[in-house]
Amino acid sequence: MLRRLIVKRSLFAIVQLLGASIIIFVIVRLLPSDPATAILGTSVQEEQVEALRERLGLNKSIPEQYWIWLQDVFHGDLGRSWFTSNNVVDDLGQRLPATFELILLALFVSIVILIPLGVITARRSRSIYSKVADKGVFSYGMLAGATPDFWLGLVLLFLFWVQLDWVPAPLGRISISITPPDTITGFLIIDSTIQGNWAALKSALGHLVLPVFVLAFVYGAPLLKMTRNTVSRMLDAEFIDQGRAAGLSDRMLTRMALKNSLPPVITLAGVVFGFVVGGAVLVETVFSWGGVGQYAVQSIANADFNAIQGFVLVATGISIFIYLAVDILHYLIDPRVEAG
Amino acid sequence: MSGAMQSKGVPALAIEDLSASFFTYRGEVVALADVELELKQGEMLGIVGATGSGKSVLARAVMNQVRAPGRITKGSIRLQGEELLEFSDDQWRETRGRRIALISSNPRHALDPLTAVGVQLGRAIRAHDKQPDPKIRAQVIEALESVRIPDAKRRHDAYPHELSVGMAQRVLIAMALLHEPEVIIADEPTAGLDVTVQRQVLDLMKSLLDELGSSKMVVTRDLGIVAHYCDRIAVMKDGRVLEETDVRSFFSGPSDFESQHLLARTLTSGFSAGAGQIVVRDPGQSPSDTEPLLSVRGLVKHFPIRGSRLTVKAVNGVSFDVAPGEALGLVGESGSGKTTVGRLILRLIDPTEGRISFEGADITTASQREFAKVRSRIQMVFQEPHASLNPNMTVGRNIEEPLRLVREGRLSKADRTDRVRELLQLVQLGEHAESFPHNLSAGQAQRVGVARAIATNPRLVVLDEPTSLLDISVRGEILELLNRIKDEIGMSYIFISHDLTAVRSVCSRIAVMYLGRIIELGDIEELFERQRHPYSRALLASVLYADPDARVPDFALSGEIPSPVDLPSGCFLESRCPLVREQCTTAHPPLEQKSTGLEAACYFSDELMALKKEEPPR
Amino acid sequence: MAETASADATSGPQRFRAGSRGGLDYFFYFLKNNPFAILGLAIVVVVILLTIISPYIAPYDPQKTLPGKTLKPPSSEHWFGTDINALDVFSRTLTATRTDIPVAVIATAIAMFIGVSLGVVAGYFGNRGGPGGIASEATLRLMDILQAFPVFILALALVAGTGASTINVGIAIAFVNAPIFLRLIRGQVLGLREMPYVEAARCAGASGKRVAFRNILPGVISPALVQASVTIGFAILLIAGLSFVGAGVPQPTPEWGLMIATGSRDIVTGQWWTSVFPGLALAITVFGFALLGEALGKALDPLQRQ
Repeated sequence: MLRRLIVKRSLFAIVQLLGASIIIFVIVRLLPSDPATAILGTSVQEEQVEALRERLGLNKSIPEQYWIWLQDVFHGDLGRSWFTSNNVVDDLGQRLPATFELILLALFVSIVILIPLGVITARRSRSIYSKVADKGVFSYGMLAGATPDFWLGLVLLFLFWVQLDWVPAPLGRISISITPPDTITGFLIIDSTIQGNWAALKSALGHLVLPVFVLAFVYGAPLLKMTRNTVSRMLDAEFIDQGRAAGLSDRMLTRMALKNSLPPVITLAGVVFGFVVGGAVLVETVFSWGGVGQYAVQSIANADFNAIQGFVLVATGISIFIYLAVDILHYLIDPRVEAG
Repeated sequence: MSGAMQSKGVPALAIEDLSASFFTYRGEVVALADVELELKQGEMLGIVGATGSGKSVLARAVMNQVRAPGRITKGSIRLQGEELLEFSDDQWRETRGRRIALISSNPRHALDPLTAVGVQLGRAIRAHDKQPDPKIRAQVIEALESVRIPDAKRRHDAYPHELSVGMAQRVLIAMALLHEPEVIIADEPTAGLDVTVQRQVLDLMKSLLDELGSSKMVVTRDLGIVAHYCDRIAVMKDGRVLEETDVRSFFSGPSDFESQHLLARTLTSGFSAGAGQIVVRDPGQSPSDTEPLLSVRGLVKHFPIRGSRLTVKAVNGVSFDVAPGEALGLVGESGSGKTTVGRLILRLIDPTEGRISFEGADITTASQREFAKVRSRIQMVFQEPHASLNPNMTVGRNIEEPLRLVREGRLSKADRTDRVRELLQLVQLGEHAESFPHNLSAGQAQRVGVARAIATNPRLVVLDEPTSLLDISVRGEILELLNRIKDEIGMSYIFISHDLTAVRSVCSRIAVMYLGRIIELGDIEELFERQRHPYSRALLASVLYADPDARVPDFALSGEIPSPVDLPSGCFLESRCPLVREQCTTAHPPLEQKSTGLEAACYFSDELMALKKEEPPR
Repeated sequence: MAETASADATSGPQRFRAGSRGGLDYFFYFLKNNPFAILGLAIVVVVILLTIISPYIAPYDPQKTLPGKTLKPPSSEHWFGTDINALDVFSRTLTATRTDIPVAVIATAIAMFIGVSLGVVAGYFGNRGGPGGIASEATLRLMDILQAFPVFILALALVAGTGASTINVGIAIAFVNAPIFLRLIRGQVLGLREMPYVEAARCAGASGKRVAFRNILPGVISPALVQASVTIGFAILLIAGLSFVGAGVPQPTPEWGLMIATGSRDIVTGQWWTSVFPGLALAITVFGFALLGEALGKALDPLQRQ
């Protein structure tokens, strides 16, 4: 049954990705009135523009253009960035680990801290503690939701770098004076730990602290709220009452409530992931992170259409994969979910 | 056995001066006030009362599980003489499930949906009795077998949603009995079950508990259950115990006014079949005398299941007539297709096959536009009182709505206002015209539903389970109202219900449905006395009358209703019927005239008559 | 327990009565019991007021350089200081409402209009076959695809494709938010469609149109309004974020995200005021709309009214 679900769900993901590729193509290739002019500017000669149009294949019919592009994508060719003059695939490949390290760590931190916090504060009573937790969770959720992540990053930089000098300058993932570890996974903290390069580990962690905090603080709030509300509702459920009446321990009852809360929380974690990917674009810019997010911002400033297109396709692909994983997890947890 | 350790004379459970309150932001709401009760060793005590009487809070209080913001404020609960309210949390954990156990209503929700039922039972065993896994598994299977769950080994790994409600309720009973408790609290143990299954489950519960010698406290709204299974009864109202007495003297005449009222209500609404107490309705004109008002022929409705080729065969060939002024009861358990028939008549859904004519005109294929002309003459009362009223409109506006939508001869604004006032008076809600539905009680909301249905003076009203979600006392009110309207205005009814006695108090004819077919049709008194179909008999046998002396015919069906997706090829009752023969497996028997005024679809109805060992109550 | 609760819901003396005159009474009753709602409402009212009157109360022209006043710290003359272009930060922060608020509100209104209409259609005709069913199915499949995009990145791509301008930012924001409304409303309609009171209306003889407008639409208006309030806040964040990375409102328009971007180069050298104040204004505004949305959600829920 699991295999059937994976096959079915993967097919859907492929269709989704194809649909997304059409939309990306329409947005990035067709909406600009003339990419050639956009690239070259208006101060160049007509022949140059025409030559570029020919080279970019802009004189072919639209479906034909899409078909050519799609074939290229299948061959792992996202076109050449005219700014870096590399193939976009190489550019992205080089920068993806930096972004992954940032967003995965941010997601990990928010899950490890906020979900248990949600479970602990879920038990509602008439005590002061419960009321404080209630207002606290509400206020944090509202405030975090209203805080612009890039601004928070700047303010924290001002405090902890400019004023206190506790964190290193926001220039990439590791200080220039430190020898980085050899690339194995591309994740600096893992690579440096494997190789025992403690100086690099320390530097990498120092650089990660603020951006990870910003992403986890801003985008983790819904996770806390949802976990707390769901577990709280589950603790009131009839099956918990029945379990208590059968003499089950509080630990077992909490475990049951948590398990029943997982499906909505996992769904939300998938959605939060999508937001963190978007947020990474802004936060990477603030911290000059050198990941794909910053690359995307540069590409937009330079009207580098192949790069933008490639970036959006990859980001969407990742997000589609996450939704796929969420659905499979759902199926594994909840026996009521049909395999299709 | 737990019974052996009980000392003589000491009650199993003694409740004294028990009070509990809910502390809401509006202040204290008293839920239990100085409750005094005694549960004697081995007896079965029924706690009855209307919604809000505090009976469920009492059940929870005994388990020390009153939900926040509620708590016990004072009093004493002694289990075999031991004060429970002084117990520590650990002592409570030790006691719950081992010495006192709970069987809750709503079995689907009382089981963890993500965990196999066997695992849940295993946890309940382990809570008091640590044992190696294989041994627990064996015990769980044994427990499942003890509550007669077929194929227990396989059911061990089933998830709650894979079980029928009846099966899930058995699992809960098994869970409660695991540690052979001294006291069992059953909170509305059969509230969600169909009548034929309710009987099975109650009989099973009673016999298993008697075997264990446990003392039983059953919380219920159904006086029938009390009359049949309990030794003593306690009537609750507003958090107080009004009367505590033995069942026999209660039913021969309760001393307390409220209790009398409660009993009287049930009796007048036809819940009892005690001789002479039921008002037998005038059979009215027989349908052959006049042109039928409504005529249904060969009605079929199949619902496709999304993403599959299968269909739910909800209605499978139904034919009947309703004469002007006649009230026809459409009776069956859930899944019988009775509600679908009602919706088909009102054209809320379109039939797969068949013909419906109203006032002689075929309305089956009438376009919605054509049908709109007939609408004001066919109306409906819905099951859920609140959900069927538009929450964004006042009560008056809700009633006025059909008047505004009449196609021909629409009343003026002033006349409509008068009519609404008149209708509100009729249902005794005169002062509520400007209220919003959520400010009404369930009974009041249902009266608004009735007023709305009769606003346009329809000739036919389809009543879809109009009383099934109401308390007994309110139920009587609605039935009285329906009878009054019928007698005074002369409307025809189709009364859809699973409740035979409610139908009997309003209708003169009855159609019994099973799996989308009418299996018996005719005069209601004739059916009650000389039913020709085994299913009708089983249905009648499962009615619990509020009279401990009522003779209950001993006729039970086995198992549960087959799936309407995969219907039996022969008689639909074939898998459950005690009279089954080879002929029954070949084709479904046709509906045939069996006596004056009664048609039944059974090959062996004569045999059923011969089998008549015990008469059903008159 | 459930029993008692439902019992006193229908008989408790302090229960609120939503009579014909109850609307306004209820509004005040609700505000009295929800301090957060008052705060949210106050912020939103002030922000909207500023949107209208800020040019008249701003002490300086937000786009005119003040000679010799580059990067001055906050003072009595310049409450929020001046920025690298010698512009008064306070005046710019105030007048930025004129960019952010109208774009966010109009974009949300467009998203709501598209989302609600398509949502009602998709919900009402969904699973029913016929041309309505097919259209509804097609819309849903398109939504499945749009849902796969991270919202900010889709908005970024749209602005990158169409060119950075205030109007294009508004279009992009309307586009990415419409699916959110559509899903929400469709879900509501699917639920309401099965409600007995909707069937009762059909029994009473109401036409399909009347059912949709009289019975279903009022039921979805509340959740749509709640979502709209939240979306306005979210839209403001999007505008600021897009402008921050240079894919939004062009210079020198006063806009919070753009101001933060300009100030981000100075914060490194200690001139914090050029980015902190516009950021605060941005956060407080979004906070206000979020609180209002939360309060609306509570106030408009008929169950909460008891």
